[in-house]
Amino acid sequence: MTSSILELRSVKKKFGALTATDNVSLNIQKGEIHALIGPNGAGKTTLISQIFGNLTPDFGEILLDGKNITNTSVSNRALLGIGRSFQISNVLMDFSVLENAIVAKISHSRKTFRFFKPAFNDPDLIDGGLAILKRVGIEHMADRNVSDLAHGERRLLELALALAMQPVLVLLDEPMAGAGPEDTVFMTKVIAGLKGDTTILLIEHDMDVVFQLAERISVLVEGAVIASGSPNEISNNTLVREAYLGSDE
Amino acid sequence: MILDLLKKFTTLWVILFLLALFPIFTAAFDLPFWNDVVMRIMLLGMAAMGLNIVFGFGGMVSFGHAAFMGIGAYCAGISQYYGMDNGWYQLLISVITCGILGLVIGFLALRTSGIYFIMITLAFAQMLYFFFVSLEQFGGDDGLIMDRSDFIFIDLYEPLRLYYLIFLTLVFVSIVLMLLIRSRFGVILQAIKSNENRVEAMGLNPLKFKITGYVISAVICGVSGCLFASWQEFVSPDIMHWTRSGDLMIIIILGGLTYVAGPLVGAIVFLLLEELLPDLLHVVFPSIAENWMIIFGPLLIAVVLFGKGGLMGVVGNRFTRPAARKDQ
Repeated sequence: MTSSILELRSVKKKFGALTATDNVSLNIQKGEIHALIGPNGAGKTTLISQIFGNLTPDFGEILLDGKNITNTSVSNRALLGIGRSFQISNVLMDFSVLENAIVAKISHSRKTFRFFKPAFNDPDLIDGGLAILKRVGIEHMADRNVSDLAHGERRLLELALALAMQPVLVLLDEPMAGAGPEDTVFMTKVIAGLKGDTTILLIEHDMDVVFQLAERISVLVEGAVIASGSPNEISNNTLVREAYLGSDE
Repeated sequence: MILDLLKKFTTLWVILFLLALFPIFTAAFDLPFWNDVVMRIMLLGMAAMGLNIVFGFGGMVSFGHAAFMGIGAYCAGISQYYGMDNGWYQLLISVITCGILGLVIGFLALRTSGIYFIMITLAFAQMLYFFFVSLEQFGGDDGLIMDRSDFIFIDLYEPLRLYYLIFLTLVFVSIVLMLLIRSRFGVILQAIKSNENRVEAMGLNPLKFKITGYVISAVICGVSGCLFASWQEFVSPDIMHWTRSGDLMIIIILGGLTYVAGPLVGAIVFLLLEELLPDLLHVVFPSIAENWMIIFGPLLIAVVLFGKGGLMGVVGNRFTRPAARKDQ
């Protein structure tokens, strides 16, 4: 318990009559890859959005490294060390790949209110941007326009941006969604390579990927966590089989 | 760095160069009236460049920036009314007043976005418009007749002094914009326009940057308004009528809203058409000359529809992303 990086305490969120998050308590241990699985509409993205601050829970507390962040803004959570990739690609479309990374690097440097020196040919920022791209192995695409990238390449850029702030916790919302088989293999390798550097909370539908990567899995059904444990425990859990694996696959 | 700016903003420098030489042309052909037209072009172009910081680069459709021009003009007019003729002080007062007002309006209006933002900025502008209409002491609806301000070393009643004062201010504003747009702040502002969620997820608070951009653009419009008062030798609420806010937006879209030079190109074309089209029609179709807007309107719509990057985009490189353009 002492080494948990993220702790949710009976988090609840309702949209009208729909309970999207039902009394969720969850512990993410420092350094682990934790997968959050569940059928469509189980409330996975809603939960991630509350952890990232796009949504505020109706009840409950969210603690990052022991610090209550329930009411902290998205940008401040990002500064505190949470990175996120979105379910639908969310990058700067009018910019090049490197320019995307440079904007992230500017934020990371905290020197944002500078009005005169050009940013895109600042050698420090270019080096920093390239380092961000290198982390997911896309530095060779640096000069390409984001609008010309293939879907899988854009997902990788998004992962790079989520990692750019050197977060202590990364939320990955279906990083493989819509990616081809080759991209999935590459992306899995990249995520596996992050193990130990940072903590990852991963939402993923591809069970092969989940069981390859995750050290612990939590299963969300209708907004509530019905089971949490090692991949072995989860695949042998009758409740999970009934609610999710059995009926859905 | 100077060389870099020369290379990156060729169109803008060429236009500024031509504007610098224009009085020689009018002197040679004895057309002093055209100096007046070009001063108006420079003033509205300057205001449009200011508005374009939020409109084109920040993606915030502000429908009330004429109000800041009006405030700038009234700062000059009211100062003079109370006997303070010094133009430099008037400029300073305009800058401070528009800065504070921009901060307040920006702080309130930027909590909304999209159509609500358009409406709330229009509402603030209308509020200020009717405030000045009701200020009987300063002429109310009829306005306030004033002299050209006293810029100490520059006697604006000497020929061409006002022209070059406006011109040099335009050069200054242009250089500020060229630097701003490529700076860290400018890059973040354009990133916010591209994808606010991602910028927020990168740990940047978009509101801070948007408000700052809004204040800078308000100040530039205020400077333009302050000089506008001297050019017109008259201040009235008309300068901040909502149709002028609309004109500024049309000027930007016409010229190209992702280009620093766009608003200036737009102002030149827009105001020249306004000036020349009636005369031209008088020769070609005398019967509709009075209704020249029948031609003017569709012409503007055509440019907006077919030249998506405005006139700057038609001339070249509209498919390249902004930062990679040869001519930003």
